[in-house]
Amino acid sequence: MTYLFVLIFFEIFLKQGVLSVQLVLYHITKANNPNLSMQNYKSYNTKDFILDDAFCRWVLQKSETDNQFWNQWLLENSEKSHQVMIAKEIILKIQNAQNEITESELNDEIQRFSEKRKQLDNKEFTSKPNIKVLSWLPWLKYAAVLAIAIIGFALITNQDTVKKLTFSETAYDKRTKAIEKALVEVSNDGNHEKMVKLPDGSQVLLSKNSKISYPNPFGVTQRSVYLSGEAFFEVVKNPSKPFVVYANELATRVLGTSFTISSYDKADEVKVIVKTGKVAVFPLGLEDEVLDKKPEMMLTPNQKVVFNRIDNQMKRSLVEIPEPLKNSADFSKSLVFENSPVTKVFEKLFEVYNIPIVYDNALMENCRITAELGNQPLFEKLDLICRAIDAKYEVIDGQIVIHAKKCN
Amino acid sequence: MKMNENIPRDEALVSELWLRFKGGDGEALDQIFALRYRELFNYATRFTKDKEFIRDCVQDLFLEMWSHREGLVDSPYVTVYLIKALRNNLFRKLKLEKRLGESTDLNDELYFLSDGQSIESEWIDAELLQENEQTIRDAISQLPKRQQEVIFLKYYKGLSNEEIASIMNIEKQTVANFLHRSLTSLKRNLVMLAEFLILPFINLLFLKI
Repeated sequence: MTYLFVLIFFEIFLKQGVLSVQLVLYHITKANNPNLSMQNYKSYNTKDFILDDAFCRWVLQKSETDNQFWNQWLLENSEKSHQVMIAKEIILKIQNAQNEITESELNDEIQRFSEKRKQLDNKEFTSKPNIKVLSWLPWLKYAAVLAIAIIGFALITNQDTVKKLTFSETAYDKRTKAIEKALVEVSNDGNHEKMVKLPDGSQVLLSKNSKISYPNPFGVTQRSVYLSGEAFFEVVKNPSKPFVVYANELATRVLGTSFTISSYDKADEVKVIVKTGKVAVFPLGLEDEVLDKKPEMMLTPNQKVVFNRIDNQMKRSLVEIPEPLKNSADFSKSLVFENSPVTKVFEKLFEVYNIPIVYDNALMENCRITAELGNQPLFEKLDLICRAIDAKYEVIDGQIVIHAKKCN
Repeated sequence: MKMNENIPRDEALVSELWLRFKGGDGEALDQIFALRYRELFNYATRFTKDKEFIRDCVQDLFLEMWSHREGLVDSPYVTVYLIKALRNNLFRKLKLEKRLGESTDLNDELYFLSDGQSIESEWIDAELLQENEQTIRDAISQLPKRQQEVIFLKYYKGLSNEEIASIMNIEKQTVANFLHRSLTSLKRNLVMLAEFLILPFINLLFLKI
């Protein structure tokens, strides 16, 4: 206990002493040497030493040349020894703090490497020809499957679609190959949708001719899933671990929600359609980097994003038949209006479908309607409303925009 | 100052081992592995906490070097060469996992850029000496990834700003800025941690005596 106390006392004493010496020296040397050269350590304070290349190298690498230089320098500038000592200690502390491996772990890995290297040698010398043949096998299998797929496809479709198929690797194959960890792959070759349960409890309804891969368990930072084809996702909420689906040119990131991705390799478009919750969609570059120029697109329910693979454009719009979020029984009652302001009707519609409706409040404050907006699709409802108040609507960027005239 | 005059003591040994390894001496490579594994592993922990993944990554890198030894450069600055190679491999393999998680880091850096001027006068000093290793480790781990990387290259291995710039593919001046910013935020993190951990401990000591 006493020993500890002395140590801390010593450090506090040192700190104060150094700070005052430092200040005085700084002024003197600055005044005497207006043009400081790189070598002029006399004017250095602790910070300068810590940031100095040659100083760090001396502390951490201890080369003969550096040792000679600094020992000599300290002899000549003994008044700097406090700063030097503190800077040195700080650097060594930071170095130690960054060590995350123990001696035994290190030895295990050295052992493991040595063995693997020798194995590699044995393979190289004894069975070289075999390995070459073996390494061709997966490729041949792949090529055979692809060839059969192409022939099959050519038989059942016309020439136009066939020319889209190329021999190049699909984005899905490229991605799953680049992952070091073993991935679980589920493919659906049947005629019905297939339910897949993911390690985090999320559920995937895989459409036919589609497949997904995912690590089991998921990674530490995010839940990554790779998709080829089409699937509906129902994601379990976990705000600290985003759920990310990679599908051709798009990455879709969610925290917990449900949505569909349609990304067949041969199709002209990649689509993401949101059912509930909020979804962020990112366009990906050739190397799977997120493209800065094209920022993420946020999607809310009943919105979809379509990535056109021909002109590389990403467009947000609405699904063909927007669906109410709540049960139809609940909302059909709430959509009966008698001489209600139309703005209130829009508010109700927003509640039911969660689609943003844009309108000029001031212009439409006097517009009133009486209507029973029961079970017809949203767009038919909008047609009815617009006819009643002599307005028009259009869908722009996933929102409904109402163009109206003033009502009296 | 030329690099070859100031090569660290064991770097000369590593260079010698490199030549032997290139000539087909497997045990020389085992020795390079033993001498440099620790820092490569620690370097990789700046990018991912998945130790299993890092172990495999380093093993793969060295096995790859062994199979392609004929095609490798003759006399590189081996440590820097290894760090660069590992960095490339890590980035390639982490790319899919990492990318999207990175946006928060970038935001952090923007934040530090904007207030860089006002904290110029603050500085770390002997305060750091009073911190224990775990506290410093925690404070470092709270830095944005790129700042962690700079701190590592500078204060683990003692590389120069120029060498760091070449590894990270950025300008030398950017390295200096990063370092300055990292140390300042490191201190800030330490002060925050210290209020919770260190100060009560020190008070306790004084009271007892």
